[in-house]
Amino acid sequence: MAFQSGGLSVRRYTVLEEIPKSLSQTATLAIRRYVFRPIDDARGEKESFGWVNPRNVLEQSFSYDDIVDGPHMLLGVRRDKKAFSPVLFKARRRELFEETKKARKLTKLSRQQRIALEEQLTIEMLKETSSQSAFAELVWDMNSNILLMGATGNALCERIQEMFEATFNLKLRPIYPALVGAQYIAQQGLEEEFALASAAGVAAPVAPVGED
Amino acid sequence: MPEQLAPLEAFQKYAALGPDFLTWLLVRVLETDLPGPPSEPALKVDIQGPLLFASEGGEARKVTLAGEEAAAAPEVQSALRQGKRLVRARILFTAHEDTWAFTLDAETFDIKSAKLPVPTIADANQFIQMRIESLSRVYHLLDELYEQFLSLRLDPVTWKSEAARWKKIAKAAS
Repeated sequence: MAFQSGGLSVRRYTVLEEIPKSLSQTATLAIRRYVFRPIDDARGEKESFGWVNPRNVLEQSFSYDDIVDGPHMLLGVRRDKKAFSPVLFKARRRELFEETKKARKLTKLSRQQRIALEEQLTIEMLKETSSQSAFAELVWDMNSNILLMGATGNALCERIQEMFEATFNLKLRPIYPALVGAQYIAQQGLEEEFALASAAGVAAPVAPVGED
Repeated sequence: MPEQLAPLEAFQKYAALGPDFLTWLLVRVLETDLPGPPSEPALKVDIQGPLLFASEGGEARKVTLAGEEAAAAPEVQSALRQGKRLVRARILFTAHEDTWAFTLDAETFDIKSAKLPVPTIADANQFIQMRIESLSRVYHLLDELYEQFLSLRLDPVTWKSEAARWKKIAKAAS
């Protein structure tokens, strides 16, 4: 996983609110609410997403102390996904509908019967399919309140951000240069200077030689 | 003090700052006139391919240049002449015999494929801590360089003279 070996790819966030003093007491339970649980085929689940202990991704009952080292919380994310071919699903559905009509001596299946058979087939096909697992990590520096997410894809980052915010009830904001600049400009009251510099600077294509 | 914008609005309004910063860094590196960050004045910065240029607003054609010498390629001057901005580049920071190599995305400051000067050691926890500290150091240096850039970018007079440098580089290949 990212922080433990190999090349690192990271997006940086700031935690906007102050960390509650009770975090070390409440975090274990908070994390358990969103801990990774294997896909439940019987419920027709196709995906599972949740926290893991990056030092032991199979452990399901880890605590705050297991993932905190000094000021750093190292938390893993696991996503399991099952997918089957829609072409195969449609072909097997057609077969199942025909077999059912024959067995029950029906000329036509009702909408409810079709839905029930589709659900049954989905569960059956999910059981036959192996899940694909993907992992990511984050490091939360609880001194500086900076969070380094070991992922850079927008969809995955947003999903991890949502789960972090729901787990700890703390808001995150990515540290993009535009946002840092906006904050600096607002604090220093440099709106006008930004506009003037943009107009005076290199916004337009550079003129060919001899034109100026 | 003016009211702060909502994050999405601020991101859209100031989206050019990241690519402007990376382009400024490239020009200063090409001119060997990059002011060192306060915490590491002797920092050596090198820019390598792949370089990705895009027009302002990320629209129009993108130019990708590969290779260690990409920053010195004539296509770089050509891209600058067309008003394109550098939006992604492989960057090397070197200080005290340590080298950090990483790809920087100018709009998000995402660091990708970072190689950190951390020796492999048996203690996994200590190794992770060292990698986190090393990565934090990269971000700290980047933040310092970005702050230096911002003070130039937000001063109409100095930014105009910065523009003259870009034009000089762009014309060099004409």
